[in-house]
Amino acid sequence: MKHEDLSSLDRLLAEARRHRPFGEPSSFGFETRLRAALATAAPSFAECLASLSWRFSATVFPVILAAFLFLAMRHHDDLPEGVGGLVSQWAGLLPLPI
Amino acid sequence: MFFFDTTRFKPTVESELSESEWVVRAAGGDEEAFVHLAASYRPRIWATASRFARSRPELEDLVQDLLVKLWRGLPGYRSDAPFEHWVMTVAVRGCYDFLRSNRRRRESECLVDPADRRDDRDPADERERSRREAWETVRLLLEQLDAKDRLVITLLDLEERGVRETAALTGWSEANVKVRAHRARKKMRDHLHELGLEP
Repeated sequence: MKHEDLSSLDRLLAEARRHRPFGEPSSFGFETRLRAALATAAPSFAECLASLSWRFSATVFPVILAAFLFLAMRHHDDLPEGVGGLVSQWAGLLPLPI
Repeated sequence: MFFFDTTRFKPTVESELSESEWVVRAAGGDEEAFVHLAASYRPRIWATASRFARSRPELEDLVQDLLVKLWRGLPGYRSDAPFEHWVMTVAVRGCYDFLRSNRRRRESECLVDPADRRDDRDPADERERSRREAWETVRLLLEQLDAKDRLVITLLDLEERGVRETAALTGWSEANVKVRAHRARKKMRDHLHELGLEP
């Protein structure tokens, strides 16, 4: 029974494999459409980020970490205490009458 | 008055370029070079994408989107892998994204594309008719599968790619491809039973 099922599915797949659902592509207007699409195909921010390789990330991460530690050590006396202090320090930088 | 027509010689020079030179040009932002590459790879992308689209206009849009993805991704292409492999990887993953994003809409659409029926140039050709009917049945079975299973069956059983190649194109492990294919075929056989289509 199982063998029959398998062979009928295999037969279907073998026949379907030989069928070209929509025939061959037409070359009419291909270049025009493609050029128009390329003209408006500016990469989004997410795509720019995605295009960065893991090697780039691996190189940049220690640099950013080192810069953060350097700034933190340099200003460790000025750093605010707790979340409240942090918020009030950042709020002081905003051009708002808080 | 001296006149020298440079355009007459340009095609001869460009036709002598190897594919890797076209790729380098295209990766550097040369649109002409990319259009040249797109024209040569389009039939292969079309053949693969035609297994996922439901109408010719949808297929044309899908192929166009895949070509734009290739254009955007070209600056990141590294020549350590064959260009054709990279092209087909981008195309296959683009088809997978297409399947996932269109699944809900596809479920509510009719199965057989009327344009596909009209495209039958010779209705007397029994063999072609049999192939088309087989494809319509297989498509009905594929519609029941999730996007990953459908992609695996399409690559393995319809495009006759090996397990290793399918794994490389999809980015999944070979074991994952084998297990998915086994489960997907079982689902297809079960559905074939439910439809009463097996002899």
